[in-house]
Amino acid sequence: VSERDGSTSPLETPDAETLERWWAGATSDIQRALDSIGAEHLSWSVGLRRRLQRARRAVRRRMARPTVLKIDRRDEEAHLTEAVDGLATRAPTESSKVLVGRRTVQLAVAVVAAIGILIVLSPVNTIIGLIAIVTVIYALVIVERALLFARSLDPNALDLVSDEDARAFPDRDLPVFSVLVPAYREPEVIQHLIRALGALEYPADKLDIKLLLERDDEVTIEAASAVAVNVPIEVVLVPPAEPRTKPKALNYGLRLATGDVVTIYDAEDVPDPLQLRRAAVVFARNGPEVACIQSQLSFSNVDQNIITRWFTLEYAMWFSLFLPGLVAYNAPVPLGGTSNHFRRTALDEVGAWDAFNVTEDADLGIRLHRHRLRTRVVASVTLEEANSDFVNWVKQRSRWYKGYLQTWIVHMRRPVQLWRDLGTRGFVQFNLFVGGTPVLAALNPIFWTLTLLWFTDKPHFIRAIFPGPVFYVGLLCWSVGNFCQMYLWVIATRMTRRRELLLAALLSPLYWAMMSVGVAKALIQLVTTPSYWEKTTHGLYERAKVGRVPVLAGERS
Amino acid sequence: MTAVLTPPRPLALPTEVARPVVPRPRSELKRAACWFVPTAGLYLVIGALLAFRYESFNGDAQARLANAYYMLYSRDPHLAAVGFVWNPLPSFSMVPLLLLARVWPALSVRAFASNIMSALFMAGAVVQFRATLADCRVRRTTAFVLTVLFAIHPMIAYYGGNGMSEGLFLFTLASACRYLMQYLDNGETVPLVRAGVWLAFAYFTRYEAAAAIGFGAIAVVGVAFHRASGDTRTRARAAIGDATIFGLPPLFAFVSWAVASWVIVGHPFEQFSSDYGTTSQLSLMGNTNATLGFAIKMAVLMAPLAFPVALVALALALRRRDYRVLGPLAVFGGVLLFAVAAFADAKTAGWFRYFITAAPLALLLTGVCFAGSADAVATEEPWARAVQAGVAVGVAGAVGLASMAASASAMANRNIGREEHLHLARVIRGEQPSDRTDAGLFPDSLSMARYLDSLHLPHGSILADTFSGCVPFIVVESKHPKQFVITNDRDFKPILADPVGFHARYLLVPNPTGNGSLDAINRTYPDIFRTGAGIARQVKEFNTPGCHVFRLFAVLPQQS
Repeated sequence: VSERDGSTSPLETPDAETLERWWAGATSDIQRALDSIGAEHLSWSVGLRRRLQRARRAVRRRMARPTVLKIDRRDEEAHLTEAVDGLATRAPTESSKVLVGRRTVQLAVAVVAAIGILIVLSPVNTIIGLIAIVTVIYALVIVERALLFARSLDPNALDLVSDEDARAFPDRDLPVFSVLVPAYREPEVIQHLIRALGALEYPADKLDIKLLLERDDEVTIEAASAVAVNVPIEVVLVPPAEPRTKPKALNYGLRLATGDVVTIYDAEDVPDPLQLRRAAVVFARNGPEVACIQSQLSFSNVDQNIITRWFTLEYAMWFSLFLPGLVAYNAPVPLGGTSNHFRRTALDEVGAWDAFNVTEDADLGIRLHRHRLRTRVVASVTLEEANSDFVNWVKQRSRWYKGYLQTWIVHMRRPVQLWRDLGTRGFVQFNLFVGGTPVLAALNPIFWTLTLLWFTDKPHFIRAIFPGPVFYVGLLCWSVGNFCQMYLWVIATRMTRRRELLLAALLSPLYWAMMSVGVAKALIQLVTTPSYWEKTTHGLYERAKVGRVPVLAGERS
Repeated sequence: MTAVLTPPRPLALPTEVARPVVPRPRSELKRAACWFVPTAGLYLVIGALLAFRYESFNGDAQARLANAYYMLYSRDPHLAAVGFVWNPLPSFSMVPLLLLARVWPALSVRAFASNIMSALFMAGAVVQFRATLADCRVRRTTAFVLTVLFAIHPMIAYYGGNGMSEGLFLFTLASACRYLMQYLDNGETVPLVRAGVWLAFAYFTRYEAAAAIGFGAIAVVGVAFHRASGDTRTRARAAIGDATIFGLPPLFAFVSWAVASWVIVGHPFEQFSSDYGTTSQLSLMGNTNATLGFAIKMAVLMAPLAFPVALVALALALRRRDYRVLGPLAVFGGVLLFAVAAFADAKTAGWFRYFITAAPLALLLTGVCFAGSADAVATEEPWARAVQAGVAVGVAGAVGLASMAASASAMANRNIGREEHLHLARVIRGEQPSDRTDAGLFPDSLSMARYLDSLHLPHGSILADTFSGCVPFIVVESKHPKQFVITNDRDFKPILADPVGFHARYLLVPNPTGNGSLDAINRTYPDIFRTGAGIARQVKEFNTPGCHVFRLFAVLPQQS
C-alpha cells in the first residue's frame, strides 16, 4: 500500500464500500491480535497500526458519506472506562470526579471556623480584614490585566504565520491532524460543520476527522449520515454514560485518534481554512516543550445585538490580549474550548481531559503547564456563534464560572505543589485569573450594593466596617478600578481592530452585571450538580447570514 | 502527577525558524539617571538655600504642604482634609515625605518637603524633555544644548527649588507631550494611552491642564482622521475611537475630582466658588493690568522666540509630513494660550509663572525643527556635518539664551515677576525687608505655637481658619496639632456656628484687614476682633513679625 501518494492507491476501485468493510474487519483483527500478544506499545506494532489506518483512510476518502466507525464491544468498554475515569484513576488529585474530598472539606471547615471565631471575637475588625483582603485582590486583578495588555504587544506573545508561509510548508512534512468534533443534540449545525471542514486547506490523507456523537443522540446521527462529504469523516458513537460532558467525548475520541496532532472544533465552528497549516508551522518553529497551540475565537454574528457585541469584544480581548500576554509571561494559559491543537504525546502524558470538569479546556491548559509543557497562541481565527439570548448566555457563563471554580479547587488542593510547579508569578496569575475571575464577579454585586447604600443612605454599619484607610482604598479601587476595567475595554477596541464596538465598550459595566448573574447560578450549581454540563443552544442565529463558507461542489441534499 | 503513558517524542518536523528578537532599550534608563541626578541636585541645593539660608517660602507651596500635613496629623485625619481649593496631587505627592516629618521636623516646619517635591519633579521634567528629543532623533549636541538651557532656565531652576507645583505640572505635561508625540509619529495604542493618563495626572495637579487636554484631543482627532484609510465613516470611527482613548483618563480625573468635591464640600468646582478660591482672592487684589497686550507681553518675555520658532517648526513639519510638531503646540502651547486668554479676561491673577510653559514650548519646537538630524549625520560630508551641527547649536543657543535673558529681566521687574521679585530681590541684593509680612519670609510663628502648646489643651480646643496667613505654620509647628479645630475638619462648620456646644474653648482670630477679612471666624462674627462679638473675651494678642495681628479669644460660657 502506498502511504504517501493517495492518488495512485491500488485501493481505488468502484466497489469501495465492500473493500472498506473488508479492511475494517482485517485491521481490527490484526489490532486485536497485537493487543492480545501485549505488543501494543512496541514501536513496530505502533507503526503497523498507523499504516493500516492510513490505508483505511485512503479508502474512505473516496466515499461520499461519513462512515460510522465500528468498534468492538470489548474495546468500546475499555475506551469508555478510560474516557470517564482515566485521569481519576491515575491521578485522583488532579481530577474533579470527587471535587470535594476529605482534605478539601477539612481545609474549608478550618477556614470557615477560623473566620467564625474571629467574627465572634471581634466582628468589626474581622469584616474590615476581609474587606481589606478583597480590596487587595481587586487591585491585583486590575493591575494584572493592565500588565497583560501591555505584555501582549511583546513580539513573542502571539505567533504570526503569513498565508504564504502556511502554504509554503511542504506537504510531506505536515503532521497528521486528528480533528475531534464533539456534538450533542445539534443536528442543525452538521451541514454547516461539514462545509467548514471541507474548506480546510490541508492534504486529505493527513486528516483524520472524527465526529463524536452520543449513541443515543439519534437526530444528530441521522443528520450526520445524510450529508455528503469531500473530506474523510468518521462518526464515532460514544456509548451513553455519565457524565454527559464534552471532555468525556473527547477522551473517547482521543483513544481512536491516529494523528500526531489532535485538534478540537465545536460543531458550529468556522475555522480559518489555513489554521491547521499555521498550527503545523508554529509547532515546527518551536521545540517539543510546546504542546498546545490555541487559535483565536471570534463570532460571526457580531452585530446581532448588544450582547453579541460585548461577547465579541470580550473574546477579542481574551484571545488577542490576555492569552498572548500570559504566553509572554510564561504563565499557565487557560485554554479556550475549541480550536486548540495538541501534540498527541503531550495529551497522553498529562492524562488528557478531565471528564468531570465543565471547563476541561482551562483545566487542561493549567495541567499542561504543570507538566512543563507550553501553550502558544496563533493568529488564526475560528468563527463561532455568539450567544445572543440573555438566558442562554447566563447558562453558558454559569458553566464557565463553575468550571473555573472546579479547576481552581482541584489545583489548589495542594497549593504548595502548585506553587512549585508554576513558580510564584504563575501561581499568582493562576489564582487571579482562574480563581479571581468568578470570585470577583460574585463579590461585585455585594460591593455595588454597599456603594449605593452609602451614597443614598450613609448607614452607620458601613462607616463601621469601612474605617479611614480601608474606606479610601476601597473608594479608590471602586472608582479607579471600575474606570480602568471600562477603559481596558475601550483600549481593546483599538488593539483588536474592533473600532465599531466602542459604544459597547463604554457600556461594558452592564455586561459585568450579567456576569454576576452567571456566577450566582454557577455557585449554586457547583454545590448541587458540579459536573452537569449546561448545554448552550446553537443555531439561534440564522445560518444564512453567516456567509463566506465555501459551498461544496456537487453537494447533495 | 499522572503516569506517563508514552515517552515524549518530538514531531518529525523541520528545525526551528528564528523569530526576530527585539532588544529592550536599556540606555534610556541610564540617560534618565544622567540627567535626573545632577538636575535634581541643583534644584535641591536651590531649595535648601531658599528654605534654610534665606528663610524664603512661597505661600501656595506651604499651603499645599499644610494640607497634606492635616491629612496625616490633624485632629481628624482623613483624605478629604487635603481640601478642594487646590488640585490634590501636589499635596498627595508630599505625603511620603511628611511621614518622616516627626524624624526631621524641617520637612514640615520649614516646608522643605515641598522643595524636595518640586526638585524631584522638575528634574523628571528635564528627563522627559531630553527623552522627547531622543525620540525625535535630534543630534546629541543639539539635544544636549537644548536640555541644559531648559534645565538652567531661571524660571525652571527657581520653580524647581521653591516648592511650588510647577515642577509636578511641567513633569506631567512633558510626559504627556512626549507620549502624544510618539503617538502622532507612529499611531500606536500604548503611547496614546500614556498621553491620556499623564494628562489626567496633569489635571490632578493644575486646572490649566484642561487646555492641553482640549487641544491634544483636537490634534488626535485630526491626525487619526487624516491618517485612517477607508470611507469617511471608517475614518471618523478611528478618529472618535482615538479621541476616546486619549480623553477618557482626563475626563475621569475631571469628573472624579468634581464629584469628590461635590460630595464632600457641596460644590464641584471649589477653586472658583470657594470663599478662599482664586475668584475671591482676585476681587481683593483688584488687578488692573489684565489686558491682552500685557498677557502677551508676559508670554513673550518667557520665551521671546517661541512664536517664530513655532512658525518654522510648522513649516518644516508640513514639508516633512511630520505630525509630531502638534504635540508641544497642543500641550505646552495649549496651556500657554489658556494663561494668556484667562489673564486677558481678568480670570486669573496673572502671575508670571502661569506663562512658564512658553519656555519648554520654544525649546522643544526648536528640537522638532532638527528632528531626524541624528540619522542624517552618517550620510553627509564631514564639513557639512560640522556646519549643520554648528547651525543647530547656534539656533538652540539663541532660542534658549533669549528666553533665559528675557525671563531673568522679567523676574527682576516688580510689575511683571511680582512673586519672583518679591522673593528673589532680597536673596540677590541682600535687602532686608522692613516688614516680614508679605515678604515671603517664614514668620516667627513658633512663639505663638509654643504659647498655645503651653496651655496644655485637650483635642479640639482652639478654633482657627487655616486660610489665614500664619495659622498653617502654627498648626504645623505645634507639638499638639490635634488641639486645633481647623477648616479641613469635617465638623469645622458646626463648631464655628456653636463653639460652646462643641467645647471649643478658644478662637484664634486675625486682624480683619486684607486677606484677614476672608477668615471664616471674621465672616461669621464680623465684630469679633474688636469687641469679641459678645461670645468671647480676648485673652492674648500676638504681634508676630510676618503674621497678621492675631488675637486669642476665650469662648464665654453660654448665657441662657
